[in-house]
Amino acid sequence: MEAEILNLTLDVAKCTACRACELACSFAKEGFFSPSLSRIRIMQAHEAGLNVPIVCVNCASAPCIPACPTGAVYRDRTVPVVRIREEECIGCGECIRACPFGAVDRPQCKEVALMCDLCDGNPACAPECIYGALTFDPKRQPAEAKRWATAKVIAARVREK
Amino acid sequence: MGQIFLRLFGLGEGDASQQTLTLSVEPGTTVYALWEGLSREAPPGAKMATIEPAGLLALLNGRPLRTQAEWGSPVCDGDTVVYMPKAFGG
Amino acid sequence: MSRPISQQRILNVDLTQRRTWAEKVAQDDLVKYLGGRGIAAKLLYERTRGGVDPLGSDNVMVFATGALTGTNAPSSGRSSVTCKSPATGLYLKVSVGGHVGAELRYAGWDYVVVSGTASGPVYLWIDDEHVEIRDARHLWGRGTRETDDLLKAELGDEAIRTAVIGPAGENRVLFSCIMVTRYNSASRGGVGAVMGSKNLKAIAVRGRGGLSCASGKEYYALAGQMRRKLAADSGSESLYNWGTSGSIPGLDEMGMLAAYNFSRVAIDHSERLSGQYLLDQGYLIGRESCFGCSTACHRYVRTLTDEWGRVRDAGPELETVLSLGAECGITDTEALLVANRLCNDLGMDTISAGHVISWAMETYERGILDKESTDGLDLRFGNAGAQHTLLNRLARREGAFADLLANGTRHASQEVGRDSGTWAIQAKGLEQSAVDTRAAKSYALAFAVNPRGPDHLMTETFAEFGFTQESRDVIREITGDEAYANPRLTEKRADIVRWHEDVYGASEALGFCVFTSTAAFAVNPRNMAQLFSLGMGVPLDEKQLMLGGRRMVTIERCFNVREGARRQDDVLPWRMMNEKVPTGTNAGMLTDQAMLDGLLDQYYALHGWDVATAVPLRSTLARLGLAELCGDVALEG
Repeated sequence: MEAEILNLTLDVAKCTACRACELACSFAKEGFFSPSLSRIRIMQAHEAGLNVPIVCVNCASAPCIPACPTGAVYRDRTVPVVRIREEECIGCGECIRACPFGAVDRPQCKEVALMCDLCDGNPACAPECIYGALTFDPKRQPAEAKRWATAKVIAARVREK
Repeated sequence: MGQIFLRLFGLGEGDASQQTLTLSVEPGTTVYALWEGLSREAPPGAKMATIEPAGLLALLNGRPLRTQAEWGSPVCDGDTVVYMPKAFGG
Repeated sequence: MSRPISQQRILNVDLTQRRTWAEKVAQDDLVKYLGGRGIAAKLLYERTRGGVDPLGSDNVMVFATGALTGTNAPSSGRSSVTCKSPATGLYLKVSVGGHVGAELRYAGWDYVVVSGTASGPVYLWIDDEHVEIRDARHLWGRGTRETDDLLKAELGDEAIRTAVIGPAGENRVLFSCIMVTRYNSASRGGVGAVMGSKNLKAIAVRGRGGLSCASGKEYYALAGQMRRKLAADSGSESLYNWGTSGSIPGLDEMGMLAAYNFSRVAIDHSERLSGQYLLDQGYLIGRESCFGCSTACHRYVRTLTDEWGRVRDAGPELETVLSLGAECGITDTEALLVANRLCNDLGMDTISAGHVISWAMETYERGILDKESTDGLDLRFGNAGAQHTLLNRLARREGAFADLLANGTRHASQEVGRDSGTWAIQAKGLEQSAVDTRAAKSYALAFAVNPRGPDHLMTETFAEFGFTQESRDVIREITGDEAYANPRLTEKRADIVRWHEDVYGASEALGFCVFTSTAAFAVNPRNMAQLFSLGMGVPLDEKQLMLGGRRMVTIERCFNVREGARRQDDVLPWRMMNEKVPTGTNAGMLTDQAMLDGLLDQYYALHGWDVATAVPLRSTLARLGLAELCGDVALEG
């Protein structure tokens, strides 16, 4: 059964800020290495000693879609993913203002806004994350997987008694 | 039977990974065979069950055993055997 | 938007004139010296002359990134700082990880060469192409963490990466360091003092550009393969799990755990200093990587009680738990984490700070120092409170005693006299890393000939222990027989050291962390050369790569010859040469002068240097293409 909302799974506790994902993304999308052009960005929260990946999470009610004046931002149901049609993007920045996470951006040297499109269902970044902070499973239903895991633990404990 | 002192670093759970255990072994048991036995008895999925000898450093009375031949050394009564994952630092 | 990595650029900064200008690196030089440590060696040699005051205007600091830094080459984010050392008066190259190197590369710069002295405290702001020398008077006196925070606030950008000195560098403590992006440190030889003497408080960088490789797709694929191979190495896994201090139990078992100022090789409760303990007891709250590294050996820890103060900070590394822990007779984890934090924030090298204090403790225990001469400190081994107080005083040179110690153990023991030099664990003026050079002969040789002093960070011959099949394969490749993977042997040590020098040099030129090429071996001369070729679009084979490594090591030697160093300076600390290992499996071992002489004879001959003086022969320099650069110091032959 395919997921209605497809996402990279982020495990903040495991991210070490190696930034291999930023390198993979910029290389896949631009052909060279540039974290500034990566659609996934690692934010280092020093006091907590934690690193937080920020990337588009394909919100069910994505505020970037209605914010876009030209319809360049849309939900592509084939992947599925929220993405930007570059030919129609005028670089106005409304989607950037609308996104509460800062996952959409327009770097200085670009005329259009950039947002993760999961590389059409085969993201370049996830295989590069050695630590498992970033994973991608197109069939995964995160809540369902957790229900099963919890059920097995409880069942085992009940049996022990 | 002989008695040996066994230490496991970073292979047990919590404090157990730092303790010295005493173990009875058949005389002539090799360092390799001793490891095999411990690994077999470990709960499935535990570090000790899954780690390969190639990823381990063994020490016999403080002497590091590196090659397969050296892991064939027999343990004797009163020996101290240590197994730990290979680590390097600087 | 992006620049080819083959087109390297230098940012020159003259702090006296407050002037900056750009310069290109010739492609021929890139192939000859490989980048990073290699180009830095050439630049330092050219831009200084013999006899400059390390804390004066004529010393030059070369901040160098790796030739592949900022690409997906695994663990290639390492950079270096090169200058003349105020502690030793000799060549100093200090490596550091973190994220500043990559940021500098994205800003469009591969090297920053700083000369002169600013008339008042300044910091360098590199914002892509835009470079500014800005007032830092408001930052002077502040700790490294606070300075990083203030720079981010002032420049309105949390994403900047910084390299900063703390009060120790400002006060020219001869073991002060440069803290880089919070988890990393360019530590040794007083590099922080050089920066402080130039009134340079910090370098802040923001880089938004990109880097392109000549054969991008093949490069990406090869680098990816190397990354996966590295991640599969069990050594990488151990480093991830427990950090570098994961070696503590092994060192303890092998009777190689330096303790009580190296008067012993074991200490009770040593497990409290181990990476395993940090994890098991809940001290560890995070694992950090340098840029582009899939090993994540760095630690982020917290104290669990308020006993010594509540801290959360980066570290501690293996050398730190030895120097500030066991060497000072301290195994209290909480106290150690606080001591490490103090060094991080004040900006001091933990290896030297620890050994300066352990020397003082031994001197105190021997009754040569007392509470009056120590400005009131009870410096018995194990006194963590006194250690913390002293660390604070050292950074600010507070009081006559701290002021003396801030110049390192060589100076301090010369002043104090009474044979206290015999327990100063130093040579050339640099405190030794806590590796027992009585029990590992390649290490002994490498430490003795290391141009910056006796430590493992110019050339580490870990393979001589032969712990892994890969390391035994390397020893077989070098010597013809894996039986030479035995640290007790003196045969073939020169060959082993030389191979490691070349590989270390090449690794550090390209930006690779040496864990990848000399502890694990997923990165090797062959794939380094392949990656260089694919990235630069210029063919380079394995032999040329190794030659590049050889060249930089030779330039470093020539620099020291120019400063007056000769064979007699290639020694180990007195204790390693005169006092046998007291206990454990290595009991009785020693690397005395006779043994060292045998090793040095092998080594100099192999290098083509005059055996009596250690001066490179003219023919050797000619063969390496260094006659023009370094010919002024060559000996005929």
